[in-house]
Amino acid sequence: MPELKDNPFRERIAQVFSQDGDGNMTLDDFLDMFSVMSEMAPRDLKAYYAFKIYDFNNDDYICPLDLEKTVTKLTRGELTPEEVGLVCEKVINEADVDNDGKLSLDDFQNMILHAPDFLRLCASTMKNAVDTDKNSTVCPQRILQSISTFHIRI
Amino acid sequence: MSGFPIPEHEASWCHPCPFLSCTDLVEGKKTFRKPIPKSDTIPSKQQALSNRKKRTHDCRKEEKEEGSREIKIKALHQKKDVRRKHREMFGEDEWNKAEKSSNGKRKRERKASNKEQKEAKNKEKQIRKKKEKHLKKYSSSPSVSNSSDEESISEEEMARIMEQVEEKKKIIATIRNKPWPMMKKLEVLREAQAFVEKFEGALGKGKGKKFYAYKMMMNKKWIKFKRDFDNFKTQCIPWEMKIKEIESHFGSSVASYFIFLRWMYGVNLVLFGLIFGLVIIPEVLMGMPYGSIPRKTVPRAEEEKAMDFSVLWDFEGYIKYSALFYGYYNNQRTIGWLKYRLPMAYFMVGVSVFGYSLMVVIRSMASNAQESTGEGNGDNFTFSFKMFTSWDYLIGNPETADNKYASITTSFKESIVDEQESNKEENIHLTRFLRVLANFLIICCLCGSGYLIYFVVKRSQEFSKMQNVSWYERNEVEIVMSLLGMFCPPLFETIAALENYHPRIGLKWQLGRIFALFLGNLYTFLLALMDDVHLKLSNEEAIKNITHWTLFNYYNASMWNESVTRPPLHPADVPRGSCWETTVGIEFVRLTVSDILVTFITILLGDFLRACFVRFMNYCWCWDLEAGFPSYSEFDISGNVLGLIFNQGMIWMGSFYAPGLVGINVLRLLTSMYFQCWAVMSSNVPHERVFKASKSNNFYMGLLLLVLFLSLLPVAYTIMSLTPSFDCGPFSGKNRMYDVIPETIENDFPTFVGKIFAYIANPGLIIPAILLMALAIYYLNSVSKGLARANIQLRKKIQAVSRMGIPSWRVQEWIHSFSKQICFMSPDGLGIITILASIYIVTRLANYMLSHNKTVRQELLLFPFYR
Repeated sequence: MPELKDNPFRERIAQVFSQDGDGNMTLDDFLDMFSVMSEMAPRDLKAYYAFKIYDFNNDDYICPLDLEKTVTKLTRGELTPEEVGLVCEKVINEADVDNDGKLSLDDFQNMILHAPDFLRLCASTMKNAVDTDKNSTVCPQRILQSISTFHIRI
Repeated sequence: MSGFPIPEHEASWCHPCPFLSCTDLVEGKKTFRKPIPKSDTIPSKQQALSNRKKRTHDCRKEEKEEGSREIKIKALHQKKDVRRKHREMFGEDEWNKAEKSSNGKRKRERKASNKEQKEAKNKEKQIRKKKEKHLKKYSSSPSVSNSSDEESISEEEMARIMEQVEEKKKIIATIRNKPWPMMKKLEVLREAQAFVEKFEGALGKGKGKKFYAYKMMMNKKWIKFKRDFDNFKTQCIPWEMKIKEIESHFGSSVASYFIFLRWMYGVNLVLFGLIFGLVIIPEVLMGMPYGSIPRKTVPRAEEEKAMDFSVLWDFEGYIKYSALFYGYYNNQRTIGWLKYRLPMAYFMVGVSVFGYSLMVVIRSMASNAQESTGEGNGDNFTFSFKMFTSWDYLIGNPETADNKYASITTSFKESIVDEQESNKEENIHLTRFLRVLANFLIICCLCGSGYLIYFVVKRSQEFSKMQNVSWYERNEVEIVMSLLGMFCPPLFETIAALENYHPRIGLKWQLGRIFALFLGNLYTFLLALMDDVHLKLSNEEAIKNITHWTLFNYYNASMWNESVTRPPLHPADVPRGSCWETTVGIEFVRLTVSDILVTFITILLGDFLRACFVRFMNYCWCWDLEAGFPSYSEFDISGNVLGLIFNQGMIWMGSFYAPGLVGINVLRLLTSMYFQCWAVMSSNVPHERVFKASKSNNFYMGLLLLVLFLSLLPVAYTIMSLTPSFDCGPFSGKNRMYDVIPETIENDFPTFVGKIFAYIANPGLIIPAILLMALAIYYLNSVSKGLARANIQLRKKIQAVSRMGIPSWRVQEWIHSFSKQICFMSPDGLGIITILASIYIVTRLANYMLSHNKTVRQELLLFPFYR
């Protein structure tokens, strides 16, 4: 997938969507990932998965350590440690509603649903195989169709 | 249909609340994260139990379900035959029983919260037993006739089953929103569908049962048809793959230009269909053919040159006397056997072109505004947004990704600097002086360009009177306007370097200035054109007299020779008036065509040739061309979008006088799409500062709306206050162009309709209506302000409440719905203002038209356009 090759969070995406947590995905996980990232997925669903991606230590909270890792990945280490610390502090100040020093899912959702571009930027540009599979759940025929096209493309 | 016996306690999959609580998150996640041991079922079940810490009895029970579910997933992953085998093992009846009971359990789980699970479970067992008895009766006798079955199912059971069916349907509808893995969703969905299928048909009574089942089946087929149709519609969207490719290389901002271009193409296609189908085709098919009447024939004097390419390129000659321009249309009230009222149709199509464009632009603005809900507090989350939403997932190219990383780093550094230096004291006076100086310089430039255009148009009028004009002199106006459009924006940018604004603010100033430049140029051009029109109109009287006398003399002379019947005067010989409407139409068409050519040539030279030069000359050049001076060009988004908007403005202005102009524009947009897609991919590089296109969409739509209004004004002025030419066009012979409306009302409608219109146009009725609309605007405005205030209050409540630990998702839902309401209000207000303004114009027009007193007419006309 060319779109994910340069993505700073590609390992996290793979981990979140895989069953065993190590990044090995079955076909169903693969389809899952595409269905969440397609343009048809509802906003709340995307927000939920985005939260899981940014939660590096899987403790259901985005704590300052997670934030630091995010910033480092985003800037590829170009910022100084003080700048990184300042950014994390500002994020917690802005988004933490229940004042526990870290972002819970509620805080994250509350903040992300105000972002104007979140929905669009989280929609990955997928090939035709997934564009036709608009409903992520129903219709085994759709899934068979995408499986067959995957065989052709992958 | 799934045959795997699902244990009864698989209820925790079905929490319906859209905002997940932490418990969901915890249990869901833990199930997926742990690697599933490869050993068989029972030992791992116990191991799973012991692994996790149990806090309450309820949670323990749920954990057991989790464990078994975990194992089930693994089994499903490995073998699908297991399902089939189990189904055979457990038998049909038991499977039904298990499914029913599990479904019943699911329903109750949803209704009860975690704390009430215990009581629910006790109740369950009793109800389950009752149900099993009933259902066994039902399932054990499938061959018994329908009537006896229904008698055995009591009303209560029916209601309960219907409830369950409804819930299953709800699950099916909302399953996309659940953050479960694909396997789980498929399982739940298959069960729900099987259940619904099984019991849906059974819920009808007696003969109604078959009809009910039939109705359900039709419903399902309809839903399936709708879904297939939706899929088909998505595949029909033109150029989707091209745009996605551009998006992945250049980011979403460049792609937004192409999406805008595609949208414009759609709008122009609709307008073209309207004009072509309702005006051009009837006249061509049912009207008089070419050469039959004077207005449709090339005059004798021009005939020999009428086919020359240079004449045709200037849109004179045969093209001028064709259906492309206003002058071709005949003013017959009805044409053909259909009695098609062409003048009326021409007028109404002209009005509806503007009406449709207005509607489409406002609708697009409203839907853009809807998507960005609750924008008010966006500024509070600058750092969070930078961190979580700055990565553009649509980037699929390493070079762009590098740029994106760099721009993210820069934007973080910028915000940090902003944050740290809150009290940065600059030399305010120097900055202010520089800004005033820059604005002064730019205003000088704008005035200079306006005067230049006026001067050039005046000169071209003199040229048209001369003979033997060179190519340059003929096209001077268009060349000057295009050159100004090319060179002034970079000039503005260099002057703006004095101002030292924040880049985002600087961009807005730049866009505003370019907008003012284009607008000024266009209006100066129009004013000069108006002078020309008035000149022509004043000459009309003289030409009318000449024509009458010529015809009179010709026919009188024919009376001298009774024996030889002279044929009527050939249309090409009749002296013709100068048709000012066609002249205006020709000017607009020439302007559009030259604009198209300049755009394409600029792209070819400025982008493609430059890229070729940089690429091939780099081998033998002193410095690195790619990194240094020329380098590859970036795609100029704002310049291109503004060009598109102004092109559309010209089309709107000119389409009343040249119906063929929209067709030319459709062709231009089509070729532009392919040409620019190719040019972008081959010659441009991604921006250094890759920025998002989010909020800019409404900004460009707002510009488009403004341009639409500004292009409506000249057309409305000419319709209302200029006399149409006496010998060309569909309104020839009338005093004013809109006179066609009262004529139609008198002649074609019954008399009471005319009376109704007269009453409606009464000032006594219109003024209170306007007052009422003003009050409505005030009221809606205050409502939206009130809602915004309520929004802020609720937000504060969330913060207070969440500190107490109560789940805030409910409050969030309230806020969500409130903010949606608010956002629905504000674009509505804007839409109402625009609609009211247009209604005001129309009512003034109607009032003016239907009043018979001349002095009253002059007083009522408030526009400062009359002389």
